[in-house]
Amino acid sequence: MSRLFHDGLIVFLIIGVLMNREDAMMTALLNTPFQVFDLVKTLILSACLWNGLFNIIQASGIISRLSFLFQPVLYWIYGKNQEKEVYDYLASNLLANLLGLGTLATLSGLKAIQALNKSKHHRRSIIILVVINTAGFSIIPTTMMTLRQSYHSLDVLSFYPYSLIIGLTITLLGIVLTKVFVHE
Amino acid sequence: MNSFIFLLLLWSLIECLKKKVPVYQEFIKGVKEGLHLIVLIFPTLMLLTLWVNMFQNCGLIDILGIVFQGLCQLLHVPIDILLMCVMRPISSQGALVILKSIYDTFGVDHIYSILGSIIQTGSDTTLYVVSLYFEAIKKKRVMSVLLLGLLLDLIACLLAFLFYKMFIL
Repeated sequence: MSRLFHDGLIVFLIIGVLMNREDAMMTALLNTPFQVFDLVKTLILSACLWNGLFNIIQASGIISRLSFLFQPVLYWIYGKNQEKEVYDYLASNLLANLLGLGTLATLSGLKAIQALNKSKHHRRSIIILVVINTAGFSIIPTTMMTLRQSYHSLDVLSFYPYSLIIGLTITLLGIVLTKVFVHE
Repeated sequence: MNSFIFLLLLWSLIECLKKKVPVYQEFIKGVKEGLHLIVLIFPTLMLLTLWVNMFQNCGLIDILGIVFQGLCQLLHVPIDILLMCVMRPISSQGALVILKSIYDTFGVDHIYSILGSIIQTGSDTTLYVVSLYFEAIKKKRVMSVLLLGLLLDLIACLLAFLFYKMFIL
């Protein structure tokens, strides 16, 4: 990853200088901390609130029941050799992704990857978790529906069946490819 | 959806009452953990934002526009659609800006706008997810996972074009 960032920045700087984009790049550079501040401001407040609520839901035992409900799917995706706590985080990540709750999905995903990292058999499961989250399969794409609604679309859901099929396909494909090529 | 979340919260609070769980302490503990997670991912967010900003402003997108010109004519789509495919795994916000310009130019219910909406929702921001998740566990060798994520993004775009040709056009 460090290589990608390093080499990428070198390429962008060379292209920027060759194409006389110094002014635009300097503006972007100066705006970066403010953009990060806006992003972190939203993320930090949402993360704290959702994590507080998530802790209450977890302490109530509901996550364990949901985890039990998702058990066959989780066992198929991640195998059966993880701790119960790990499955709780994985279940909440899966549910948050499916419901399109971005911040909660990120939060539970980060907790799940940290819990997986502590377990013995984790290499393949970690990759599967990341691949599922890069696919971002959601059955309720709230952001897009709201955006299309704000543009007064006559058919807000015209994109929905296609994106549903695509999301499901690449998620399943990602899981299968990881299972075939990555070994514990 | 909103009802589901509030019902889940209500159910949790009732269960906590039954099990005598200290709700106040649990909430405070969760908020503190949330703060800790942000400290963990903040440096990655700063670097990622800088990288994406440089990518968007160095002129590479203009070069890609010229490179993709022929492909656009072949696929019968505007250049913005192909730029969205490139931008989607790198920056969700960047892809959204392009999508909005497609909405403004052609109208929200135009076939190009529907195709753009499919591309936007078909996958997630791979670079962001891979950087953030692996930073949380301090893993450095992640190129193969990033490549797999980008391959899946490419497949998502190809499927979007396939549906566009078969059912929307």
